[in-house]
Order: sequence, then C-alpha cells, then structure tokens
Amino acid sequence: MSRKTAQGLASTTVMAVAIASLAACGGATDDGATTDGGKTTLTFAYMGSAEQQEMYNKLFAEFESENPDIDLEAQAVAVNNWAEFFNKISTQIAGGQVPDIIQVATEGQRMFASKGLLAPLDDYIAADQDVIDEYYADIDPNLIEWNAQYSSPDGKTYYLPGDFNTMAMWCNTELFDQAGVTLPARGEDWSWDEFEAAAQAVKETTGAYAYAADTGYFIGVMPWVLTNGGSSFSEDWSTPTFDTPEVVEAATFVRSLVEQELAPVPGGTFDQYTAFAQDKLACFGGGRWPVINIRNLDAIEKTQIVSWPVNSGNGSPVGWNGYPIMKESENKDAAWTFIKFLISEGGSSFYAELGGQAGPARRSVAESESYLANSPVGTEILYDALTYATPIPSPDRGAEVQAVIEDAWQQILVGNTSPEEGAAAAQAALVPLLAE
Amino acid sequence: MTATATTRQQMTVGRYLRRRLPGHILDLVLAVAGLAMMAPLIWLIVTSLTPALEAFELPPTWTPWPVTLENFAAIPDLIPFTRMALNSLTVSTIATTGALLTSVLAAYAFSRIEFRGRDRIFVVLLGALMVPSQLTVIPVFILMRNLGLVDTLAAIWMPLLINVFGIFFLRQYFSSIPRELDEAARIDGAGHLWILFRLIVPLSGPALSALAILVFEASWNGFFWPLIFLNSPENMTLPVGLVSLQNAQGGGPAVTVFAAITAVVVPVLIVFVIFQRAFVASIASTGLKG
Amino acid sequence: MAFISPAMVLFIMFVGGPLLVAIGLAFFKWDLLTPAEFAGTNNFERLFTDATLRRVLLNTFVFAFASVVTHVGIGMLLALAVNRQMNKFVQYWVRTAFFFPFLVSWAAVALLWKYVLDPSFGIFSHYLGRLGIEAPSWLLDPDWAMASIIGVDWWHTIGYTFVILLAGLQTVPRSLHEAAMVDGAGPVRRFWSVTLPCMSPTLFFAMVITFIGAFQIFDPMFIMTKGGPGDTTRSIVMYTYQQAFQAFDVGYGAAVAIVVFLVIMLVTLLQFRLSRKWVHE
Repeated sequence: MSRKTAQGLASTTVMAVAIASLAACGGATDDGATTDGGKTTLTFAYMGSAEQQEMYNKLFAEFESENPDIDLEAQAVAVNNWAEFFNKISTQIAGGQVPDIIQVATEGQRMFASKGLLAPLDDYIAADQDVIDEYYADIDPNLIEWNAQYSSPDGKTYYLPGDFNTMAMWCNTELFDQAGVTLPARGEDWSWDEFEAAAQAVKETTGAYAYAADTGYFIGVMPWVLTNGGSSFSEDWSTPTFDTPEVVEAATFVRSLVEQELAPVPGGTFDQYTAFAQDKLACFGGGRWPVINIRNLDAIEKTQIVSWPVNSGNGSPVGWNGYPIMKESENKDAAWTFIKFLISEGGSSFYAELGGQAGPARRSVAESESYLANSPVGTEILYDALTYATPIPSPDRGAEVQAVIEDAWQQILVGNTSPEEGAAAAQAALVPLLAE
Repeated sequence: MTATATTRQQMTVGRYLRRRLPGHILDLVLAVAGLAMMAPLIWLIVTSLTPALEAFELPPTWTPWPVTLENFAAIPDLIPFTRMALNSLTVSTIATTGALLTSVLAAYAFSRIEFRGRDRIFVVLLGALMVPSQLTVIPVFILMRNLGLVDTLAAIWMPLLINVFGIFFLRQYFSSIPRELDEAARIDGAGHLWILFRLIVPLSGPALSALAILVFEASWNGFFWPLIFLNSPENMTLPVGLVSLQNAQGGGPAVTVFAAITAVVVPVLIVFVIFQRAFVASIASTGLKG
Repeated sequence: MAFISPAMVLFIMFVGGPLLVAIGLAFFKWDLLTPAEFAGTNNFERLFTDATLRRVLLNTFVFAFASVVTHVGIGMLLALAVNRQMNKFVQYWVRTAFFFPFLVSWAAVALLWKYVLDPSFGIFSHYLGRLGIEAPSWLLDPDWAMASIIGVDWWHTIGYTFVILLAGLQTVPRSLHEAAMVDGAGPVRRFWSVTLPCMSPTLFFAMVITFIGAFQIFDPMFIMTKGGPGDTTRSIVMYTYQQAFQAFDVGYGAAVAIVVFLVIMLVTLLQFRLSRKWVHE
C-alpha cells in the first residue's frame, strides 16, 4: 500500500485507540487486592517517610501475626506533605493501582470523601457497635466532634478518627540550662515575650540558634497564628482570614526572630534534628513525629517538650489520621479488620511504643509506658493540647491553598515583603481558590 | 606557536614573564576554578564520612577525622537502596542495549537501504527530536495503565527503547562509511544482516560507545518519568528514591542522606576516572558529527 | 523493511502516537479519575487568557536564553583556556572537575545544592560571608531564585558544552592560524576571523542542543523550589506537570505541552534559518 495510506491507517488506528481508552476510562480499573487460596491480600497506602518505614514494617508484622489469613501489603508514599500525598495517591489511582485502605489526614479527608472514592463505614460500625463505643469512650471527645463536623460531605461516616498530631516546642534543656532559663513545666505557659527573652539569652550565652523557623503550614505558620487568637480560615473553612491583625502580628513576631538571628534564615535545607543534637539549635516545633529522629541521635535525655508560647491564649493546630476503605476494594471485610486493629488498645499501644508518626488517640495509651518510655519529658503535653487545639483548616483545594500560605510566610520571614503586604497578598490569592 | 627549546636559565626574566608566566598563572586559575567546581562534591563525600554529631561545622572541615562508615550502614533503614540500585541498573541496561539495537537497525536502513518514502520518514523522525517527553507522558500514562504496567520498571525502559537522536546520529556515522566496503561484501554473497553486523557495526565502535554512554546516563539519571510512573519504594529507581529522602516529617539525618547521595555519585565517579579519555572523546564526537 | 519495523513500532507507540493523542486530549476536560468530557476549544482559548502561562513562558525563555549564553560563553572560554600547552595534571583536573557533574543525576545534584545553598548552614553562603558578601536566601528570594537555578543548572551541565566546544576547537586547522599570524593578526583578531568561523558548526550544534534541553527544564525547579517563590521559577514543563498531575486537568496540561512543542520547533527552525548566515559548513 502507498505510504500515504499506511500513514493514514496508522494515525486513524492511534486515534481510535486513544478515543477508546478515553471512553473506557473513568473510575479506577483495577484494584490492588487479590485472594489467594484462603489468604486475602490487603494493600494499604500511607505517608511513610524514609525514617518511619522500619517502624511501620514492625507494626504490620504484628498485625499479620494476629491475623494469619490476611497478607498486608503496605505501601509507603514518601512525600513532603499531605497535599503531595493526595496528588500521588490520585495519580496512582488514575494509573490503575487502587489500594484497599489509605491513610488520610485531616488536610484531605473532606476532599477525598467528596470525590466519591470511599466506602461508607456506617454498616460496619453498626455491626461492631460495642467495639466502636469502647473506642470512643477512650478518646478525647473533641476528636469525635471534629470528625463528624469536618470529614464528611454528606453525613455518612467515612473515617474513624485515629492517631493525631498537635504542635509543641521541643527544647534542648542543656542550652536553656546554660542560658539560665527555666522551661515551663506541664500545665505552665510562657508568653511570646518570655520566649523571645529566653531565645536572646540562649543566643548570648551559647551562640546557638534559638528556634528553627519552619515555614510549613501546620508546623510553622498555624501554631503562631493560633496562639495569637487568629486563624487562616473561618471556622467552617469557607472564608480565608489571612490578612487579619492576629495573623500579621504572628508573622511580624517570627520575622523579628529571624531578624535578630535567633532563628536561621529559611531558604535551603539543613538538618534541624542534627543541629539540635549538636547543641546548635535550642528549639524546634513538632508533634509526635520527631521522636524517632531524636531517638536515633541519642538526644532524648536533653529534650523537653513545652507547650507553644502564647500571646493571647493557648493554641495548636491538630491533624488526625483517618483510615477509610476505598469503594473499589474487594476486601472490605479484611480492611475493616485492619482498621479495628489500628484502633484497638493492643495495636495502638504497639504503635506508640515503636515511636509512631503521630500520637495515639486513646487516652489510656497516651498515659501509658508504651507511649511515654524513651520519649522526652513533657510528651503528655501533646495530648493535653487536644483540649485547646483547632483542626487544621483544609479547604478542598488544599495543595494550592497551602502553597499560597507557605509562600507568603517564606517571603515575610526572609524579609522580601512586609508582614502586612505579604498577608494581604496571600489573602487575595486565597479568595479565588475558595470560590467554587 | 613555534617554541625554541629554551630552558628557563637561558631565558631572560623579561622573556619568562612574557612567555611562560601567563601560562602558569592561567594554570593556577584553572586549577582553583576546578577546585571550586568540585567543592560541593567534596563536601558531600567528606560529610558522609563524618559522624552525625560532628557534621556540618562551619567553617567546614575538609578532611574528616575520624572517618566513619556508619552513615552508609544506616542507608538501608531509610530506603531500600540496593533494590533501587538494582532497579536503576535493570532499566539502564535494558534501555541501552535495546536502544542501541533499534537504532542500529533503523540507522542502517536509513543509510543503506532504498525504500519508498525513506527520506520523508526520516524528516518526520527528525521532527520528533523536538517532541518533549512531557507531551507524550500523559498518553503513555494511559497506555501503561491499560497495559497494567504502571509502577513497573517496564513502564520506564520500554519508551527508552526508541532513541531518535541515536538513529539520527548513527545514520550520519554510517553514511560516512564508504559504500565500497558494502559492495565488496555483497560480491562475496553477503546479505544486509551480515553487512550490518559484521562490517558496519565493528567499524562504528566510537559512535556506538558514545551513544551507549548517553543512553545509559539518561536512563540511569532519569527523574521525570520514574517520578510519574513509579510508586512503590521497591520499584523506584535511584533518583526518585533519593528525592524521597528530603522530607519534612522525618526524612532521616542529613548525614545519611549525604551518604545515600554519595553512594549514587561515587560509583559513577570511579567509572568516569577509569574511562575518562574514552568518555570525553565519545561525548565530543556527538558534537562533531551533529 | 524489517530493519526499521522495531523502531517504527516503538516510534508509533511512544512518540508519534502519543503526540497525536496528546493533541486529541487537549480537546477534552478530564481529571483521570472520572469520565472525560468534550471541551471543544476551551483549553486552547484558555491558553490565551492564562496569565500564569505567560509568566511561565517568560521564565522559561529567560532560563533558556541565560542557559545558552552561559553554557556557550563560559564553555568557549574554558575550551580556549584548555586548548594549549599546559600542565598535564591541571589539564586532567580541569577536564574531570568541569565534566563530571554532568554524569550525576539531577536528583543528587538538586538535593545536594539545597544543602549547599542554605543561608545559615551551607558552604556557599559561608564562604561568601568570609569574602564580606552578605548572601540572600537564594532559593526564597524572588530576585535570586531563578538565578540560583540557572547557576546550579550551569554547574550541572557545563561539562557537556565544554567538551563539545573543545573538540570543535581542536578541529580548527593550525595552518589557518599560522597563515593569519603571518598576516599580522593578533590573538583576538584570529579568534574572530579564524576560530569562530571554523567552529561555527559546533557552536551551532551547542546552541541548538542547549536551547532544546533548557526549554524543557523541570528537575531542579521541582526538587529545589517547586516553582516558587510565587511563580518566579515555574518553568513551562513544570506547569504542564502541575496541571496534569496536581490540578488533574489533563486536557489543559496537554494543551500547554503542545505549546512547549511548538515553541521548541519554531525556535529551532529559526536557528536553522539564521544558521545560513553565519555557519560555515
């Protein structure tokens, strides 16, 4: 046949194939579960940074030993933040790999539920009501309330609230001792001014940086904003409130810390945990997750967790994990078994002891040795914070919202724009993102 | 520059200053410039050999003492490094041999076989050189999904089997090999395959090795494509695995990250130092024939 | 015919076919998860009104232009400096030091440089400080972020250009230089009248290749700045990626990718056109 005909045929075939695949697509094609001679294989995707991988593997081994007929294939998604996690998972689902269960943090719970990808849990809960009741009785009531308020677009239950993170200050007791500063104990507070004075004392006597000014939304922005009585969004997450005086004040305060060289200028990468262990850094903000890094650096002994400095009142962002079952999963029963393991006292306790990326929801575990052993003094504060914490505002377009806020904060801290201008610019950029 | 054999003692100071000194100064400047270029890599290697608690001193200590290998030992705790290295090796090897094979076959056809529309197809192929991979990634993603190959190494090496630059480059090279050789072989009864693999290919050593180096380097170091297609850490190639180490919520101590980066950089450095001449000559040749 | 069939099949599967499909995709609105809807020319119309697209196009042009200039310019200087009688060790050292970074993966390079460029703990700002220069926060300063990326990219890829240009330099016949010297031409005159014209094919190749590669830049921005601060380091390929795999607007992502393709093609054709004026074959 002539070259032209051949070419024509080729391109028609290609277009036909293309259109066929476009038509055939829509919703996931394949799910990740198989049944293999009695054994069920569950796939579970979670945000697992490199250092927590080992810990999770032990947790899964524990589950498999208790449930020999379920094979757990856990998949770590190593990304920088929850926004990237959802992008990665969505891409994966689009690529045909659908896990049975995913770990979804507050930042994405509503978004995921609204995409129609999750299976409602109400029937499972009803069938195991006593298990759920016992669980709910053992966790902070705030978690239950927030879960109901924020994680469901249509009233059905897609998530059970699980392990969580709040924010507190991780402090190097040796540096503060040298500076002659007494850190507040559990139940005590310190003001922004006292914090600043302490930072200056540390700088003068030891030359170390006082605080690592992280620019992450959860880790670096919200704690300061919330302890000043402000927030990034209104309580129903529908209106941005980033240019309020409370936010501007918070930004101004942190900027002054950078200006006074009490905090290193953001903009590159340095290992804050190593700097902390080397006595070059006095404080960094964190929830439960730094515990593994600090353990690895043998620095638990000189660490004390202190509540976040306050200006107008106690405040902390809170984010908690939910473990929904994917609608496409063919192993929902096995998935439910895994979820029950995660919330059980045994499972929760095991996880806490390993270090865990987040704190246990169960109060009984939070007060137990498995959580508190080999952890810094003051770890209880992380659970205490649940009483005054605010769920991290997470509108649907979470990744873009977070980028705007973090960008603005970075620019303010580096001194490229004034706090007022930076906040106003961010607010202006946020409004259209909410306008759907 | 005609150089009379003048020893430094025979030269007057003036002549020395005018003739040789500028050269020496330039040598010095270049040496320092080279040092500055390598400084980040030296810092990398030195830091990865330093214990965590002594690392990142400012000013930096350029000679680590004591030297420790503990950071390297800690790498597998963070990422399945050996697995990832194996993945990278698999992908690169398959891609390189495959691309060489398809390119050799196609280049031979374009250079030695007369067929209808040959030149026009060649022009279309050239145009494809400018098609960025970002344009083809979405359709290929759909294709791989339908084939069930997402999150497999096949999704990475399969598209690398076609190398338009390679076809073009080899075709130029083959065309410069005299036809008389072909004819002589044909008189003896040789067919195309014989001519290609027994005659042309052996004569194309430099070009083939240049292409092999480029394809291997590109597939070993490729980031964009594996980023999109590979999800599970066990399936990842080294670059994607490395980037997964930079992580806000606990990505491992920096010294271990540095050790991981070193473990990726140093093998290449060793291979390079051994084969430096061949490497550089090969790469240089791609510019001359282009 | 059998000889090219493997290449042809692969070409259709992975280059030609996807190219056509991508063009087709640009007519749809699709988020990869739910069924696609036909969108007519919406995506294409959006190309004209999208301010971010204009921004990223500008960024990418700036980057590509700076890349070509720094690569070819400094590469040429290096090649000239090395193409002479010189200390063997230094020559070996220079070739190694300037070429080796090219062989390292972008992932390793970008990660490493993030640490190097840290304002407080990195060695770059530290040594600048010792020279009395107060360094900005390189990757966060809107005035410096793009320059930093250009710098890191230069560090990473200068080796290739350097080697190519050096090889081209070595093809310049000595006889021409000697003839010029007999005519009384000094080194500078000889450079413009002998070296450059003889090297023009190599220079042309270097410029074309550098531009094509630079226009598709993605890795360092993705790993180091994520397009920030603001949009200052967002390249057009990054924009495509974000539209397709983060905003899940695959149709528009395809449309933007088509723009990339067209620009590369046009600029390359332009370069070929202009080459008739100054490239001696």
